[in-house]
Amino acid sequence: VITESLSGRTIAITGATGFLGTVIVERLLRSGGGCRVVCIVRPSRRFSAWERVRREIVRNDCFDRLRAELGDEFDTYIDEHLSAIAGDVSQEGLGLDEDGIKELAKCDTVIHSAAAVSFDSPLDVAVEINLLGPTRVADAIHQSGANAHLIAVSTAYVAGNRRGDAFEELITETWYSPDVDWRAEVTSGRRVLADAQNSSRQAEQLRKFWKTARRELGPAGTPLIAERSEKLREDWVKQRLVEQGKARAQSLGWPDVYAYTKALGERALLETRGDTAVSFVRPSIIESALEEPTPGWIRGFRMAEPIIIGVGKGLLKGFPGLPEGVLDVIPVDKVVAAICTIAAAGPNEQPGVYQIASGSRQPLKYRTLVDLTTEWYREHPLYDADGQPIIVERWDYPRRGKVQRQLNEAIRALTVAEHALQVLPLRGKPGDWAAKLEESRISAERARGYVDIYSAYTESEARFRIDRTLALYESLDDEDKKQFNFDPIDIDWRYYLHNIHLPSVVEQGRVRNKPVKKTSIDRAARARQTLLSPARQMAVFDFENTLMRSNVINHYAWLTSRNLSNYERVALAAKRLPRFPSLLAIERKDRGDFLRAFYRWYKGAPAEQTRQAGQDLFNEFVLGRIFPDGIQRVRDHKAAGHHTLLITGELDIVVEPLRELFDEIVCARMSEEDGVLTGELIEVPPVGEARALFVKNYADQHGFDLSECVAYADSSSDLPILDAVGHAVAVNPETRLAAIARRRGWFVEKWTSEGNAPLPASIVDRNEVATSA
Amino acid sequence: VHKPSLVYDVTATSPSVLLHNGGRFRLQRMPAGSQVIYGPEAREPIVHITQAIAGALDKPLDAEPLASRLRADMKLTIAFDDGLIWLMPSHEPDGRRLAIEQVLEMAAVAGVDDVELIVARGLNRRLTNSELERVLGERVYDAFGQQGWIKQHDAEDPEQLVDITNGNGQIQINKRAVESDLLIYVSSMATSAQQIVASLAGRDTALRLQQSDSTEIIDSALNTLQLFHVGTISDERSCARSMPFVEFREPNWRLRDRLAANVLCSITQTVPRSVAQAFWKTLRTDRRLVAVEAGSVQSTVAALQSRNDEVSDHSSNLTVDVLSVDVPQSIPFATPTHANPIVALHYALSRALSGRPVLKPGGVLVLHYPLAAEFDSARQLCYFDFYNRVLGKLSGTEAVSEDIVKTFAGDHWYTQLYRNSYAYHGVHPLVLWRQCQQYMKQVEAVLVIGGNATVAERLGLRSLANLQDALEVARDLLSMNELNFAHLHTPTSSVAKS
Repeated sequence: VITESLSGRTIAITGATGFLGTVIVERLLRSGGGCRVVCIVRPSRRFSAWERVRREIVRNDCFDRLRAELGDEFDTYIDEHLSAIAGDVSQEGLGLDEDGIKELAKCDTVIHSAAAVSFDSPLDVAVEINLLGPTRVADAIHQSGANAHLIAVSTAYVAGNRRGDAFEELITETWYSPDVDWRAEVTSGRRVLADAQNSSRQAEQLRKFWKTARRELGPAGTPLIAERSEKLREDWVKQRLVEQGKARAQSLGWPDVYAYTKALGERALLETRGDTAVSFVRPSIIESALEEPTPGWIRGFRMAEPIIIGVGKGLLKGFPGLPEGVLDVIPVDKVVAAICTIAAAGPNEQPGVYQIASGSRQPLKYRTLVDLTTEWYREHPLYDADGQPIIVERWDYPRRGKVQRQLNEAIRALTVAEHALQVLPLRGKPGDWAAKLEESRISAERARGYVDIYSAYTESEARFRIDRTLALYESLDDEDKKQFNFDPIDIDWRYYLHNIHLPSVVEQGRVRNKPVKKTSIDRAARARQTLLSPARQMAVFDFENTLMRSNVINHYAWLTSRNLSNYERVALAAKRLPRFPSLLAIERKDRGDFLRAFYRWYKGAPAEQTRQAGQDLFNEFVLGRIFPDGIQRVRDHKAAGHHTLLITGELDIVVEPLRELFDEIVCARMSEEDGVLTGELIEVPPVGEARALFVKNYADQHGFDLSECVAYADSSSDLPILDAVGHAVAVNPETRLAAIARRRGWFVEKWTSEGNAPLPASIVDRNEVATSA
Repeated sequence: VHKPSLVYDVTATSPSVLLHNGGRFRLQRMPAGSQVIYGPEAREPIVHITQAIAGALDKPLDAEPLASRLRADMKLTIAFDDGLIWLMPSHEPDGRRLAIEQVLEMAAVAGVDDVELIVARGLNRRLTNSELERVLGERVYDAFGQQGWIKQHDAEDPEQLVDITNGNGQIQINKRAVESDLLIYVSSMATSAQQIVASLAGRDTALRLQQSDSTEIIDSALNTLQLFHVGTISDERSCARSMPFVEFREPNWRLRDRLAANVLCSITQTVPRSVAQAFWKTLRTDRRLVAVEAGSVQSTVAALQSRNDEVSDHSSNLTVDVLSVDVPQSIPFATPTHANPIVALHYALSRALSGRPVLKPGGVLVLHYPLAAEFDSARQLCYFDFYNRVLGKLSGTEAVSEDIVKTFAGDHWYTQLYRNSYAYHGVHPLVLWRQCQQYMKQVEAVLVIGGNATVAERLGLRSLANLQDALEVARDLLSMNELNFAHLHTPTSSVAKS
């Protein structure tokens, strides 16, 4: 009966690309008796609304079942029954154009499932989408002249932080729901955004962002620091709005901004709907599908998934919550079945509220969930990087405040230690400490985030009644009951968790669930394969600490003291020593100024002699400190037919012997007068952001595509260049760069002067060896 | 009193044996019933050196006395080999220096003006200035070095090479050596005609000399060159002054020596490598001239060889199933900081298997050495490359193809480093590796104790934790229940051969 009733209808849906929306579209197309579905989708920068529908909805494995059922006719069927109109719930009138309005006018039913579902959305976003969204959809329906039934998907948690039964009542009629003027909330939400934007632009704040960006990036050059500082400002604004939203929601008795804006959205819709027929569907926490379209189907990481994975990885050893409390979870296909039934049944005279939840009918106790999860993990453990199974320990149920306090303290300590490490010029193994600290801090922060956001749900004591929903179910005939089963009574939680949900989540979570040890060799080999692919065009190398372990100061010291006695050496060092601090200060600020200042020291040196000494310096000092892996890499790039470029602040005399390896060397050159070095540079090698610019110009001149170039560098002052190319490699990165490289997923090489990081044999073919000469 | 070589039978109460472990030391208890083979001690040095050298030069073997061959207007070249530079510096002047000084004095008396010194290094690295000074002594080094009269042979410089086969480019030899009216070749050890020619040859000629059918080249080179060979042999008491007990055979140790050895072992095993190296740098050895011969190449080489055979002949005709050797700090082609794994293996194999080997053919050789993939970037970049790119792909005893040899031989980067820096020639690792492979064909297997397993595997060896395990594996490999096992003790006197 439902199928027949839906047949011939045109049903519009918002939020079709979301988790719930995708399943609704699929179900309507598969079981809707050939009804037409119109997706109201916001076009992205690259894709039109229809392209998005094709890419994000139709190609999803959610449609595998329908594809299999229809076979060759699938594409034609989709073209005939599915269409898209460009629209955006955060704009007045949904931003529909005339064609869109015409399309909407033809619709019999509109399902509004678009929402900012994150529990920690910024206030402005939540207000625009969750609060104003339903009203805008109703307005659009009204304006198009359609006589459509609007089914607004809300959430059961609009009931707020309350104990006891929560009935299927209109929000305006619920005695415990605060009577808030939603218009005032909208105005104040927008003002909060403007205020946050304003205060983020105060001089004091801006200086803070700049300082933080500098500390993170070091001498990376103005453009990158500016970019980072602006990003920090935006993040700060967002964070402010998240906090404001949360505070406002809690001050009114809702657990978070999601429930708060959803509740006010219902209120606003009831007030502005005019004569549009409205039904509210309030699901609780929607999780993976029980049966339809396929058992375990889930899209994206939702509420419980990060926690479930966190438990499996041993990151979470306890989570605040009431062991005897009920965690209200509902499989997505139950919600979809209810929505289809409501759509088929059509509107009531008065707006109806349908809650779809398991808590009052087939409750899942928090303790049961924990027990079943740990039990399952014991049989299906996740594995750590060494291929060892991770043992899930006994779970405890601490108080929320205690956990939060502990996590806060841990995070504070870790942050301090991390900053301390960043200041030190560490490389290699000590550099890894910082990586470990960062890792622990991030997982601690993540855990704190889970606790902040989700404990309201694990601690919830509300019981969502589903009497009206059940009554609707009871009114169905047997065939419909079988086809569109939304009675939660038949959920076997043990079966659902063990056979459907947990396997699906682990599968989706891309975690190690097999005892295969991922060797770092594999990763390194893959990385090198990428870097040495024939598609690459140019390889840019930094010199100091990238290809060898030394620097300009060492070289100066070697050159000036090589013919001196020990006594004279000490005297020379003593003479130079007082100037080092100022020199280092200059370097920290600007590498170019440092080089200019430093090379003054060469003033008066006999030119010819120094030039000859250059080869000696190379033979006796530089070559012994060179990284064989690095040199090998340069040669590999050359053998692969890439252009090789060395950019260094070294003097030409020092790097002259490397000409054989590089197609081009960009270095410092000093002028001479009467056979004596002047200490002034004719050519100042590009440093910092100038290097990136130089490489860009260089690539343009030679017709190289920067995205096909590889850059190797060791310090955060080289960030611009690493940022500019398509393939960045951080070599023996200092702490700061290591952190950045980890975040951006850059390759990291650890080269030593012994060269004990052997190139895996698999990449370089012996034929290549034979032809590399 | 000079002690000849000795085979010592190990009993249950025998003391542990001091093993070199690269730059470190270890005490190893040998199983009862096995044997320890001690080499001969250093021979008595020549007391009247000047007379001995003068005697050799005046009454050369199968040749005219040197004095009669020197003329004022002649072109004289003194070539000397690069042997022994890997050893610790000596308190005593180098044998080559003593001979060269005397030759130069005679040349000065004869009024010869055109004199040049050539480091006959073949495909080895250039000597550094301090090494040159160490070999030649301050006087000669200063006088000739400042004038630019000390040259290092360059097997890659077409300007420095000449073809002695009248134009068909087959045999390239150092031009100055060929054009000299007299070439005096001063060697630091019992050498061979093949080595002498190779050390002055062009790259391709040197490579051909490595192959077995090299007599033709040697003969035509020796016929072309006006060659007068001065061969020296020096024996050393390696640590006679700083660590005398290392000189003594363990059964002769006194309590004091035993304590000192224990302390030495624990210190060298615990300190970082850089500290151990700094320690080795401070050591000086006592190396003295024990023999000098001059004359035609064949006669001199034979005479020197027989001088060595007198002492190195083991007193019994011992043959064992399993032989173990250790690898000390200073070995040929190693650098002060690194002995790369190929060089170490080459040293161990050539010490155990050259001459009349104690190990029976098809026996098992055991190496005491912490094998690791560490390379000196200044001198052995080509080894690093060869180890990673070639050895990583070869399986077991697979031969290195001629193509790969050509690739490394013709590599411009390695050639540049060989010519201008202090690096070995690009083809050096391949020459050494081929020799290693020849040696390894003579044995069933080579086991290494304390080495990195990956590195061992790549070299075709097997890494084991200790001697017991190694002997167990050897028993399996040879399918024998009882086997003869001997340890070849690192010679206290370095009868240097290469």
